[in-house]
Amino acid sequence: MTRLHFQPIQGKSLDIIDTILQTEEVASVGDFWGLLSVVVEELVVNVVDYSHSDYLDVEIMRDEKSITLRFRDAGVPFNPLEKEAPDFSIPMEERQIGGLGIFMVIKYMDSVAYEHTGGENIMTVMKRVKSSKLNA
Amino acid sequence: MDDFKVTKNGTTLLIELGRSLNTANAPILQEELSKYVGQDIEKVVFDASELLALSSSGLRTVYYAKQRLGHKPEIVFVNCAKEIYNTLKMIGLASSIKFLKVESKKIVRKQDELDEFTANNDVVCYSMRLGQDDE
Repeated sequence: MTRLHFQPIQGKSLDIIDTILQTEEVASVGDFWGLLSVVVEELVVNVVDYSHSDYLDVEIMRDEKSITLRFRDAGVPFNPLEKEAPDFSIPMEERQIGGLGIFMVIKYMDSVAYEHTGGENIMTVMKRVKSSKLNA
Repeated sequence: MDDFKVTKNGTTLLIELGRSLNTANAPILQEELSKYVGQDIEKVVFDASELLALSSSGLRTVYYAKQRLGHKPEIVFVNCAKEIYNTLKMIGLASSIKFLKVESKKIVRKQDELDEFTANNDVVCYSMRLGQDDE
């Protein structure tokens, strides 16, 4: 398991995302890397841009069958799973982008859970990934 | 390639994407596209041959192309990976985007070379299969 601690400062999203994507666990997901990178981006940007937390802790757990990422922040309580899904019946030329990020996270991952405990937003996402290139 | 390249050819914009269109480069691409507002762009072609990741930030750029460039230009994705196609389909854009499959970059380049050659030379071109080497 990898534990990472960040200061979610505006303008630092890319550094945080890169650090997570370069962990051994994330690098081991094979073809799922592209979609997982989107999930990581959406969750990190949410915290950095909106939570006003002074920290973001990320735990990454990998076993032979799955990868799990847990994001903790002490910011404004916010359950993104309660956000309404975007209206996809609206023509492309009239659409707003809002809500797409969390929608993609839910669709790409096998499980997505939110809890607010001990003053923290805790977002846990899991994906079953069969082929592991982990040596550990 | 993890960046992008924008080329204007008449009323068509060709955008060659790298591995990702995300928060790292989508705002820069959108700023680049803003230079073409008001130029009556009719078609925007995203070459997605290398694209592995398309985030909501990247999708914002695709929306921008549709909504701000020209009068609702046609949006085309070339060589879209299955995951990218599924994403666009998942959010209801499959019917709004034209998807093309080009067999190889070599063929595209040859077509480009042929187009450029015919545009710059007063010649009559004979029929040849694309991708076939001249003997």
